[in-house]
Amino acid sequence: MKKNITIIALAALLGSSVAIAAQQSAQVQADIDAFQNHFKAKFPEMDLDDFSKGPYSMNEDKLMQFENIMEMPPFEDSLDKGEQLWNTAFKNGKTYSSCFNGPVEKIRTQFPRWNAEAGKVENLEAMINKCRTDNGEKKIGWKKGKMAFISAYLTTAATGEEINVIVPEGDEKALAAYNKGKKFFYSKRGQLNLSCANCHIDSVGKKIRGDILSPALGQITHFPVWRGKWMRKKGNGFGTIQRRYGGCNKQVRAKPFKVHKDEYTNLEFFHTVMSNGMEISGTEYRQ
Amino acid sequence: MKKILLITTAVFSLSTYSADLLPSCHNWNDGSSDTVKAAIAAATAENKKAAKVGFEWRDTVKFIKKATKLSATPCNSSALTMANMAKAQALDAQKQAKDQANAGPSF
Ligand code: HEC
Repeated sequence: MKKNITIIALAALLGSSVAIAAQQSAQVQADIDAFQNHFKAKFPEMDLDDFSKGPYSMNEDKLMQFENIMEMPPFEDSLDKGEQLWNTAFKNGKTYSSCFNGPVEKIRTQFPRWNAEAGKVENLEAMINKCRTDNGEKKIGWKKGKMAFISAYLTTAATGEEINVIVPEGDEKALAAYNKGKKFFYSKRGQLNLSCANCHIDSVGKKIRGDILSPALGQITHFPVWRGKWMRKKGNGFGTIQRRYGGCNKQVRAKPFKVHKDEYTNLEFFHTVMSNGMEISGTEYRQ
Repeated sequence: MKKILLITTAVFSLSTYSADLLPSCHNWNDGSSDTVKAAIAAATAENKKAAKVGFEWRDTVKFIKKATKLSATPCNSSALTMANMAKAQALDAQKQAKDQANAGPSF
């Protein structure tokens, strides 16, 4: 009841032109509460948005180093490139913004979203490429380069916006996609027989090789990220969330999936929903 | 003393000699034989099943490729070992998929 009132009040506030958003599935809301309460109970001194600092939220020295780097981030040029690409017209004269709703700071948090008509989850990068092909342009690579620049620009523009991914109540297909993502997250994989949850829920804060394990809560608030490790590989340091999924699968010696197929897109759906209520923190540096 | 030393050396060199004559593949079914081919085919088939259920391991195909490469050299027992290792991984991956059928949170 309380939720209904809030939604009505919100709709009134936003004006009649905005359609009332679908209501969150009750099962999913229960999952979100259990997930977030687990972390809140384990780290009672932390506020919800503190979790978005990932490994740095678990170690003061590392947090200070991180904050120093973020004062003059090594990826500013790439963000500028992203902005430029966003505003550059296609051959037909249109720009990316013609494919999206709302001002630039309101785009990031619309994704990933359930597309009931298509019966599947759409994430931001998929929509960027769809925008290109709809306008007669070729697709661009999914995981890094231009795609990551544009996506990072939108993520940074959305700093402070709240994540609110909805798995619509009563939509069985949406719930099935969410449940697939959820199962993926909790399934042990690879020769090392470890699940995402084993590392990013059960072992948060522990050291593994040179890394401190980040909490799964808030892992998606700052993607794409710029990584020193990726800088040393081909590319320029940027990678999307699905690039990271591939890396984490390989770490446990599981074969990574192709990006932008159902496996990782459903995982992204689940993974993002779990951080509902958190703020986008803009694109960030990672080790 | 000298005699003992001599004998030891002789035994030693003999044993290396025989090892050279009869390398680990004295089983003529190894190497590029049908046994190896069958083992590679079995590993490939099992790994396809693991992939189909979404649980393929990272290195299985690498092992299969390596086995195939090694099998080009006649009489190479590593090819069979490698193919069997790949198959064992593929079977473990399938079992893992079954074990994870109801994976979920512990809270
Ligand atoms: C063996 C442990 C391990 C497993 C299993 C694992 N990861 Fe990771 N993951 C890491 C390490 C180490 C890092 C780098 C440090 C950090 O951010 O935790 C990392 C980083 C990440 C990051 C980046 C966080 C950030 O703020 O930059 C994401 C997102 C992530 N993992 C998601 C996943 C997902 C999803 C899965 C399951 C498919 C998974 N991980 C499985 C170890 C693991």
